[in-house]
Amino acid sequence: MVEPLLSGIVLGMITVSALGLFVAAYLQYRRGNQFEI
Amino acid sequence: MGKVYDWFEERLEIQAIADDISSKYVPPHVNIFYCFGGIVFTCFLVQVATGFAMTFYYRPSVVDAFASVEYIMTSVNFGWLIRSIHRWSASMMVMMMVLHVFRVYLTGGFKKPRELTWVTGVILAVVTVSFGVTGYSLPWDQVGFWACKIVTGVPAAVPVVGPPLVLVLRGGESVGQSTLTRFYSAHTFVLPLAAAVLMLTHFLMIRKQGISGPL
Repeated sequence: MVEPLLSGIVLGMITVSALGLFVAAYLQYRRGNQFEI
Repeated sequence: MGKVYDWFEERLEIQAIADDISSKYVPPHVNIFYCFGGIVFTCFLVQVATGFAMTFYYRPSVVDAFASVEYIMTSVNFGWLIRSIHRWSASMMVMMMVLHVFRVYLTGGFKKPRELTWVTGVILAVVTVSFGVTGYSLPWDQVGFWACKIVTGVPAAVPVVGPPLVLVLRGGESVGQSTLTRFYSAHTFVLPLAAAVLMLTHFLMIRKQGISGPL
């Protein structure tokens, strides 16, 4: 039984979250260490 | 402070608890993805509330189970809503748990000194999936019955301990009343207890060690 709404929510959230985590990691990397410690 | 506050403060030192809670701050590297764990817990609380409500009407017997679920969906006041929330929240709980694992893994939250938090989390993941497997079969409809038959048959592939394990899961050679009873007992007693203990250790360790650091 394929539930289209549930499948959309799950696949959409997983894609957006995984991408978001990598973007957040890249932004942290680009910002660098601003405390100089 | 008020008299009530003083009464409790004198006996339980509640100010120390309040100070501990309010002294925590959110570091700048923390983003929205750090909410996933809390959302899993929120889903769990929803599951406890709606699941408890359904125990009033659900009957765990192979003859009555499906009819009792039908009764919940058609006759009980807001029964359809309670059960639908239970079903959706179950899916959301598993999805949010997977996303929480993504976050912890990609931010290195499992590294020293938080290995034990990760270990309890992995066991919690197994418990959560077990909740899903046992709950799926409870209506004792066609999909539930056959899912139960297939899932309980999987350990048979394991040498030596496999076949006896299947007997333990099913409560006999075939899938029947004893299997449904065991699944109901696991779903409403054993697994909630295990989840509560594991969540307590998971949260206490997070509380003790604080939120994981930046990359």
